[in-house]
Amino acid sequence: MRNEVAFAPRRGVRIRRLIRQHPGAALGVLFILALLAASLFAPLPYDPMAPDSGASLQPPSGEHWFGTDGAGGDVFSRVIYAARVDLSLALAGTLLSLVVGVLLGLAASGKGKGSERIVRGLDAFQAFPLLILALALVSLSGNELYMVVVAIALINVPRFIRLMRSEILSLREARFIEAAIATGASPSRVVFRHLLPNVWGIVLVQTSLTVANAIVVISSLSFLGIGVSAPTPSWGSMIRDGAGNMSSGEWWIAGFAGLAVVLCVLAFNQLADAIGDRTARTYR
Amino acid sequence: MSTQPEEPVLEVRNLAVRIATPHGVVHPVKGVDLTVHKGEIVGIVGESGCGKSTTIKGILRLLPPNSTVTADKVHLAGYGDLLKLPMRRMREVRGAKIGFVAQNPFGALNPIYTIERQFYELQKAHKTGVSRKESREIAMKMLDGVGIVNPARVLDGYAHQLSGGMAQRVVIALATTLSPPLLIADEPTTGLDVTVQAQILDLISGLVRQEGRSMLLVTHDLGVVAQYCQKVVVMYDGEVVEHGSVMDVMVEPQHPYTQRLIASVPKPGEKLDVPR
Repeated sequence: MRNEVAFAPRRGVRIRRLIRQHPGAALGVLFILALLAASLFAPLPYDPMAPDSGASLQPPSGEHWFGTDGAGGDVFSRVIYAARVDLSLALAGTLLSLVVGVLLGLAASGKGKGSERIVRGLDAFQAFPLLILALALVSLSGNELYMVVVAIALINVPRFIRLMRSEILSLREARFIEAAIATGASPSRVVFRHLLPNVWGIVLVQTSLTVANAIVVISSLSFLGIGVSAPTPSWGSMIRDGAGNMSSGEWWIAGFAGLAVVLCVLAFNQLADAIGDRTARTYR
Repeated sequence: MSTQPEEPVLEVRNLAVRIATPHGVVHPVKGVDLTVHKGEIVGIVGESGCGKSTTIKGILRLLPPNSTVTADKVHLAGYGDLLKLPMRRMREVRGAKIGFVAQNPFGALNPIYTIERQFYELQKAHKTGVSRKESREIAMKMLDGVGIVNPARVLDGYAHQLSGGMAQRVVIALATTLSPPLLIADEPTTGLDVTVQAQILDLISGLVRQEGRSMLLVTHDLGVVAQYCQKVVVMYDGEVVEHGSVMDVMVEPQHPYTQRLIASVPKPGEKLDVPR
């Protein structure tokens, strides 16, 4: 009898292969990391918080790469700097959604009455238009930034719960779970060593999609003047500021801020795709 | 060779299973008696749905919570009545005292762990205090013992990289790692091709004989029973309709169901009565 089992390739080889198979995701990760690093550490050409009123509404040039806005702020510096607030809020919101969603999702996957109640509650909750709810919540709190994080969690936690529940309900019947029990694994071992590791892949996909969604939510809120407030630059408020100038031909303010949002969302969607592809292969 | 006076490894008396479904209570198993002595291989035969697997799961207490298992006795040597054991003790039994080989080997292996990790998980579940390195050495030895030629490669691989026969060998190695005195194999060769089936059955029965273990072998193949078992229990509709030594049951079946079962095995040279 022959025994042919492929060797697991070395780590370096694996990473190179990963990049070749998912160039979009690799590019996206690179873009996000570069943007974050630039917003946190790089010396910006102009102070994003102090507009130069003498140089308002200038088109992109060698001096102002992305032009200037109505108040004379350098759009390039502001777009980069906005990543600080926008991305960190998005990541914080996602982290909160992930933690709460996974815990509640686990609780909702049990066999008892409690899990049924969570699902009922979820159904009632989903009847509200979530973005409006988030909007109301943030403005009622007096525009506190931490409320933006809570709002993102509010929108995304139900998705995590549903995802976890549907995955675990089907996994629970899998033969290897029964086999683990038949070899003497305790209930907590079964959950933490056999069930959850099989769910991480899809949860990671959802996490990446949640970051993308959170960026859109934050931008929507700040577009409406809620959440991040002036003078701190954010992509949503820049799009709103620039919207008025669009009709008179000054496209660069809203244009570059919008581009930043689009690229970030695209990057996280690509990443989600790549994770999905990779995890689907070892799964089942 | 089988009827020693000593205490049987497993003795089951009047095991019954009821399952509450939304459409009423069903009784898949209605009073099964089984006795397995040391060194014996006992076959359970019967058609699909006759309660073979449910009996096994009832013994191991693997049935879902909407089912109730009752019995006068499910006695495991050294442990007492399994149905009365607290869950903590029951977990000791599973894996360490009763090894379980399931029907579908791929289903039984966790898809996201390497084979090595599955051996280690077993050690950790039983708190044997075996280190990762020791676990690997043990696993190497076990895989070697089940006829896997290149254990190191298999250990680093995942379940989906194995062939059906190899996966079942791995599952058998896992089931015997903690040297349980009793093995329960639930149709261990379904889905494997015939030559591999024979290899796997030779392997399991060899392991049982070598170590003086016992085995409960669930199957629907009378040929397998005749070749590997000393005793056989014939089940029909949740009840034991006949039991005894394989010789007696095969040569002189008493129950009409057993007679028909034996008659239904095709014999070489016999003309089939099939309309063309």
